[in-house]
Amino acid sequence: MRRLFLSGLKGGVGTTTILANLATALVQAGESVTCIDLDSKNELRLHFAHAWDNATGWSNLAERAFDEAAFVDQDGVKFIPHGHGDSSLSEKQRMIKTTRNLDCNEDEWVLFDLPSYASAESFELQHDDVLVRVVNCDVNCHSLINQRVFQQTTIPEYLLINRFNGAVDIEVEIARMWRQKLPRVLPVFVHQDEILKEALAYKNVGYNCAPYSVIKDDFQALISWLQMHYAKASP
Amino acid sequence: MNDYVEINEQHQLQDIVSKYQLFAEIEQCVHSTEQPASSEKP
Repeated sequence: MRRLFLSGLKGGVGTTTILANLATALVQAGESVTCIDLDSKNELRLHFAHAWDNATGWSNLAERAFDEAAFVDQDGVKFIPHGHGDSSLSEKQRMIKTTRNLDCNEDEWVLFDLPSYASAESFELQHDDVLVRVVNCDVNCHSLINQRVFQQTTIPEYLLINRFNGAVDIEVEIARMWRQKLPRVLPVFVHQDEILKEALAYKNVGYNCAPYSVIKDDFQALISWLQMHYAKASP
Repeated sequence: MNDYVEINEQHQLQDIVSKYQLFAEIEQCVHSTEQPASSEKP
């Protein structure tokens, strides 16, 4: 099982959108994928054409049972919504631990949408897990990244730049600084593209809506990086 | 050639940092925090 955790460095950087598109891209590349929404905003499911008024999710089932809260979208992405209930940190931790018992093959990708306010340490990730922090190339993220440098987190966090616009000088300059100074900035950017916003209105992902777009290339490049990373990490 | 590229990149980085007040402030703060740790090394 390949467990990938995505979390925004701050709210609103596009983590859920990245996760939904990545899951679709992986499935279309022949991989088997399960997505689990750990964010009480419960928005991941909308990318997978889930009914807006469907409140079902792992957080509002008495037994926190996977089967009753699991759905499959038109592309074959399996997803478990958070549900309209709230969930404590310990319930989220339990949910993460429970995924180890999922009945799936060892090549299954399990993608977690973590809330941005959660610290990496609190989720007790294991050495073969991958944590990706989604960031935008803006001054707020630059400030937050440097605050995190002071914290010296023990779990390695990769940074994925989302909504990159190469026509904006300060974005190019910030990206250049990060790539020179920070050790784990992914060599892949996800470029700004309106199709990612528009696709949600159709309850779909941009990856499906724009076959010749730059973001399609971006997600394919991201998949390649992830596959290489897990291949290197596996014994 | 590689040295030239590295020096050029360092210059670019310094130019960016000095161009913006907040970046310069952050850089100064990060640098001053890192300084004691490196001076402890033999």
